[in-house]
Amino acid sequence: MLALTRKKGQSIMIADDIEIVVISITQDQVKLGIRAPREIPVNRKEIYLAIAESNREAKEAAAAAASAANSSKPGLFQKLKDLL
Amino acid sequence: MKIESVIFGELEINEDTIITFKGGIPGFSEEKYVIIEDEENKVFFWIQSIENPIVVLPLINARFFVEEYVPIINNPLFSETSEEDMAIYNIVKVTDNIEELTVNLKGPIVIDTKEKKGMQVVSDGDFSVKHQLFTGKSKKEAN
Repeated sequence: MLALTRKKGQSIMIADDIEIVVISITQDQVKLGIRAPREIPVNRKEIYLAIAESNREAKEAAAAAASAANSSKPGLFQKLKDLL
Repeated sequence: MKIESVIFGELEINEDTIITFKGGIPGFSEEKYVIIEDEENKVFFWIQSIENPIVVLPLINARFFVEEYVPIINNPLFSETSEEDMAIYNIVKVTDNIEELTVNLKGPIVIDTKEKKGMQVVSDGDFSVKHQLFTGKSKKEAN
């Protein structure tokens, strides 16, 4: 991992269009500002990882339900629809 | 054009309906998707990668089931999207035990249907990644 030392108010550039600014520093927290093209997703890592895990689980569960139904139309979803 | 889906087999899709998710969605690097409405089953929708047949996830409109659910979408990608052009879906994890079915309220799939662009955003507010749809409980999240 590349490590760069920066002071409050200073920035780093990633490629041509992403800027990360150190806004403030306290004893154990740093506040960062991120300037990036708006189509670039920017998230706190722990939330990103929780959503990524949830997405992968949802994909696996749907594939398992579909193959259990042993047809192209997953029967489980019909059951669920009846409940909803 | 024709695409392949591990769940639906071969599908004929209209190229105008392809939505671009720049950078993919968390866990999947594929960027081009279509939303499939299950004709026989109007409750579920599917987000299907047009590039990778195995990337297909079921969706619902959680707002119709969870009364208090109002996601807060303040992502700049949608700052110019009007309300009628904005579609919001939530990814569902199905289980054999239907009571344990969970829906991701924290990270809705948001689409600008006019601009054909989408992103799985993180909603502000106290929402769960694994909300149990039938019991209203939120599973403890690993973080």
